[in-house]
Amino acid sequence: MDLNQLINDCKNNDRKAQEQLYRLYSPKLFAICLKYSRNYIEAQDNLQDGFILILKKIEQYAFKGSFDGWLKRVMINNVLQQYRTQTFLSLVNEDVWEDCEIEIDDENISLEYLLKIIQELPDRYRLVFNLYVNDDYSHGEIAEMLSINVGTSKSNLSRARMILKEKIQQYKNEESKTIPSTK
Amino acid sequence: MNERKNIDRLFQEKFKDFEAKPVDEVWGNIEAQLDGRKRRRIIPIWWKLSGVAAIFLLGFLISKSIYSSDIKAENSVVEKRTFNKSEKGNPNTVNKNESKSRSGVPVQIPIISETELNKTEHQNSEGVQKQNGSEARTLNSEKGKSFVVTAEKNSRKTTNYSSKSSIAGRKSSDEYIRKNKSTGKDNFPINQSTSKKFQNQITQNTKITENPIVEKQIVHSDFREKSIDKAPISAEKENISLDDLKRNDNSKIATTEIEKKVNDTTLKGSVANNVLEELLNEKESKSKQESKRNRWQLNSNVAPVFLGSISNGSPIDSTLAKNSKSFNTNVGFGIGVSYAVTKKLSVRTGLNKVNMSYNTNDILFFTGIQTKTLKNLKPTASSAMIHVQSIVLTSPALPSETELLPFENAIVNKNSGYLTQEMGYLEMPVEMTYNLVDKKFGIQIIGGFSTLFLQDNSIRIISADRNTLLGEAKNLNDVHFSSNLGLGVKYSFFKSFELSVEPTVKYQLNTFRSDAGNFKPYLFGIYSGVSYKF
Repeated sequence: MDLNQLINDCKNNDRKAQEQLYRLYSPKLFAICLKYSRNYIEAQDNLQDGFILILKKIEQYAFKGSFDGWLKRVMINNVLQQYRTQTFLSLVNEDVWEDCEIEIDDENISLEYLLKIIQELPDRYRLVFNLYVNDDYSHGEIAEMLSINVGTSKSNLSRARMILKEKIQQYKNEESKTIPSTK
Repeated sequence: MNERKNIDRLFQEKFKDFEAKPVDEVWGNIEAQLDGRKRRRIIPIWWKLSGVAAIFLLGFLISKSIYSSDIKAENSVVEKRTFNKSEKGNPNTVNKNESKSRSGVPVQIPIISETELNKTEHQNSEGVQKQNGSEARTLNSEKGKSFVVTAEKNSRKTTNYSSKSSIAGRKSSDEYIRKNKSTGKDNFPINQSTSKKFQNQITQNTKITENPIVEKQIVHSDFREKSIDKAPISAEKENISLDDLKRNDNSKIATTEIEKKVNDTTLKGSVANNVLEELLNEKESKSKQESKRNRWQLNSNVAPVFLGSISNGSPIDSTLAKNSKSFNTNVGFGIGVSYAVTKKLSVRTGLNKVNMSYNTNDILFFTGIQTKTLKNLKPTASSAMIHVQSIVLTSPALPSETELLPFENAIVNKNSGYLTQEMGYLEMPVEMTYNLVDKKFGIQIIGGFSTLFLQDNSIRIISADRNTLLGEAKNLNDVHFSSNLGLGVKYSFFKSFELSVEPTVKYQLNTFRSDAGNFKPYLFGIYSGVSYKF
């Protein structure tokens, strides 16, 4: 079936079309949710809420720009909305930041582990990191989306990087210790 | 493989084509929610109507106690908090916490759980700290400024730090526990998806069989535990080092000065607090003013009004008591104004026009020779000779002097038909409403009294081919009262507009002057309308 036809059917509230849309896009959208949420369960909730929002708002999609991009935006905004209502916790003074380029050795680190350490980041670090690194938003855009300063966004990003780096390092240390013992 | 690269690129590359299939029940949930939304539009109205009676009772009994206990709970909790804190000898934070809790939404305080409290405290001190940080910086740059001020600011700062770090400690342990839990939950589904994925994506892991995967996962989970153990410690470290850095930023003299002044800060703190309190008061008065703006509400309503009687009887004549009555549905309408006394309680009044009418079925009527009228009927000049009788003979008693004589019976043509009594009132309700739910969608209980002024009063006789005015009822009070009880469901749609549906029962207290043959009427109206807040 043609995608535009499918979208139009969804606009007409056709349940079958809605389900097809879900089958088609849920893997991508769920990946977004997994990155932006704290854990698997929360990601499922966010997917559910976000997809309902998509079906509600699909009428507003005017076939301008890519549909994938539109879906992604709605989904990300929905997730941000979830965290906007919650209070952010931040452990450090946010004006202090250093723009560090962190280099690490790329060994075969599993996707699951990377996902896990992203999910473990404090809420705002996680959002900023995902928006900036994985979804190509600028600091200006992020600041606007999260109602924070550009400086805060930058500082959050660099802290997120540092935490991630540390965890990856730990992971490697553990691995190098355990591999000989298992052999 | 061991190429060094930017951490961003690592994540970008890994997540570029990342897809994850959610479990099937998610779509089930979505579908259910979509269906639920559609069905809900139809069902709840009836469902709520049937629940009206129960909610009336419950709500009215509970509402008063809730309302009064609300205030008490709020006060006691705030006091308790300040007391505990001051014992710890941390006057600044105490006052700030207090002010925060007062400036925040006070009603929420009694419900806030401990972790949430931690959060707000944390945020609070965080905010103040930020402020202090910027202040300190500016002060440092302008070194000519008075010394005492710096010291005072600094002392405030240190107390904040101490409170902060302790809170941060607690926080991180909370966090830790939560994370532990969540990871415990997560392990299973993620691992599941992992194994699936590994099976599917041969390109990624060509050599790996299933066994190594399991091993790897074990390694992961082991590692998880360890990394979690380390997490809080590193957080603390960060905290401390930052604090140290901060202190070093300021001049050493200032820091020594702080130590001397810390004990004296209570006095100065109170001065600072006065400023804070002023700000607070300003905020409070502002929020009060804001709420004042929307206290008044103008509403209009239209309602189908159903008349009923909780017992049989006839207000017109006792001979008609056993005749069946059918109650007509009329339309009432009106306007009103309401004033919100508090957030939940409002008083309202207005003016409604309401008509009620009912039919007394199964009657016979005919013209007699003598004047004979029903007991409570004041006939018009032309209708005085019309006799009205029930088909159902009430009592085969001795024929009275007004009964037809046998020969009359023979010549008289009796027509069958029914009587309609119509009463029109101007109603002035005085009611209180109490909001049970007050959001975009609201539910409220309505209770009060109405004063009804008699406007129209007529009794007509209606048959297949006739509609004759018989006269008016003698026993209707010009003014009577009703007690009202209703449930309001409202939905606000613009900033200050509201749609409302209010099924309301109005029990008529003294509609009829003399005993009306046990006829106890009530009105049931579904008052729906639009209101405007200003």
